[in-house]
Amino acid sequence: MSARTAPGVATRVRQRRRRASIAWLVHIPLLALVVVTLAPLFVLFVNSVKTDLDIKADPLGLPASIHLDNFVNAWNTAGYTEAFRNSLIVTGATVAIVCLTGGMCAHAMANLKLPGQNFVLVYLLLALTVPPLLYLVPLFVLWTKLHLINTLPGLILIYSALYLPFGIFLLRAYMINLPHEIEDAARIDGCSEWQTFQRVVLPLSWPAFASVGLIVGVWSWNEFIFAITFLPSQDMQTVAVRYANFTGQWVSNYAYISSAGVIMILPAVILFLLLQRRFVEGMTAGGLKV
Amino acid sequence: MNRVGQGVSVLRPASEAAARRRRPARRWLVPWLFALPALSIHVLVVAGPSLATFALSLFNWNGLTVGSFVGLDNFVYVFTKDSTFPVALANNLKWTLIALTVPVLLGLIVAVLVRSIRSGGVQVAYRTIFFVPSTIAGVVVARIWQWIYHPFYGINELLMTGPLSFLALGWLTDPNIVLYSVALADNWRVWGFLMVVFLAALHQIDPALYEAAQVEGANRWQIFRYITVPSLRPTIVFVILNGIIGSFLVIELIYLMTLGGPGNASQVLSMWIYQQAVFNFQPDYASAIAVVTTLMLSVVIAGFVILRKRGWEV
Repeated sequence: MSARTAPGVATRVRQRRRRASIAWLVHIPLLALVVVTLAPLFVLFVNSVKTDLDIKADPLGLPASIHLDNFVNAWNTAGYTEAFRNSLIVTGATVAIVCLTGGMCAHAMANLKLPGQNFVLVYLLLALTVPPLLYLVPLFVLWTKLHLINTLPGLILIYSALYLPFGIFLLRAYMINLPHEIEDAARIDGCSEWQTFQRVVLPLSWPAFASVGLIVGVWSWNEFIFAITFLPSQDMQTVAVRYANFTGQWVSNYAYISSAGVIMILPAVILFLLLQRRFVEGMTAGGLKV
Repeated sequence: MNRVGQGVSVLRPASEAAARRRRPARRWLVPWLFALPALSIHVLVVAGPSLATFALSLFNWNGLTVGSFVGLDNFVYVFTKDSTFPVALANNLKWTLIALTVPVLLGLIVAVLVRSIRSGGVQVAYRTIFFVPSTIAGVVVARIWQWIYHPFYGINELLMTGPLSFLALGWLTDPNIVLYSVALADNWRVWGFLMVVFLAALHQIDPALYEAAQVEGANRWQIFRYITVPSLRPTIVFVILNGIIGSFLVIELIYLMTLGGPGNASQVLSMWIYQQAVFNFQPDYASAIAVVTTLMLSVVIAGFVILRKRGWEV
């Protein structure tokens, strides 16, 4: 017995040592992919501080001098002040509506034994597969009749509907695993159903709400097709639409295209870098625990 | 005090009966009051208009007034007279094929590589970097890649001088490759997300399984084939379904980079529907294409789900 295990252990140790010595090899393909991933963004950042002439004379070179005034000029020419106001309102309101109504719906499904729960689940699953282009035209007609075209509430309602199924699934998956005893204790202490939701379920589920808020926020900030269709007039446009139009008009000035692009992506990228754990947990949990 | 107690005991049956009468309604009402706001927003924006599209695809319709009932005429047109529809459908299928292979395999392999790194900090660093493109707006992704594909200033500048000059192609102007150029930009954006999904799933696998396999003397390939892949099956199913749906609905990068052009070389179904509805003012015809697209997607998803239920292994 010992005669048989001893060489086995020895080879395993040897194998492990050999594995350790070649373990660093994984970094070669991974670092190559880091370059592939970051190179396009690096080009964007470098171009954002060059002049247009510099870019065209030496497209891949480093900037001869740093032109931070590009950002001011791009901001003003693109008309970002209005666009940022619109995007912030749309994003903030969408996040609030998805978290509040989505949280309530998830609470009904996870904790209140919503009658017809399976029907609602199937409905929400189907909703995730419906092509937006299926309902775009009648929705446009309906929004025209309701005078919601060219209004921020009109787009906020659309985004809320678009992202609610994701939010409900993620919040429901989280709430199912909460201990129900605390809720019951709150009810016995005389809390109404609303108070139980507000004072017990909401605070206990905050990590899921944070994930939903962040992800839905970034999606709303970045969305383009509905924004350009439902907010056609100049003063109502979101940053995404303004950027697309501005770069269409200024298609030859790559310095401004780049700096306006950097301004647009910075809020989302910074939020992600600061709070990436919430992002990743939400992104990976939302779809999987259905 | 005694009388009060008696009074309560006398009253209790009545109030309990009242509560019982109230309870079934309340049990039904309260959860639905919580669920209603979200569901009514969704029905108003998605379900209602979607059903309207099914109805309107049977009519002559210009967006303002509903005209005559034409039955399946719009659908007949889609399949017999519209020469763009088959091109767009084929492009969606090509896109699906790419989306289910390139970013999925890359994401899976890289996740396994990253998982093998001992240091948790280094794992997180790779995860962070690879995920960044997923947070970047489509409009900016489109402009970055248009710059990369620019005939004079972009990647061709780099390629033309070296031995790879044959690769200096008309990335967005050559009808034979334009679809793949846009798909590549899309792959660049999504593969990191898939990698993060796979990595999270890899962390869920019980380490005891790996230890057992090592004790049994399994080699690396066997461990990957018989432990990693089976454990990842639910994740792979999710990624494939997600990929199919996303590929059928793709529009944003096409809209921003090519508008389906040159000609119809990079035309896809959603772009074609949008052009018919918004640019060509043919909402009735657009509705018919949208219905056909939705039905095809449902058939694919239903087939996938049925195969899974019958024990077909992905």
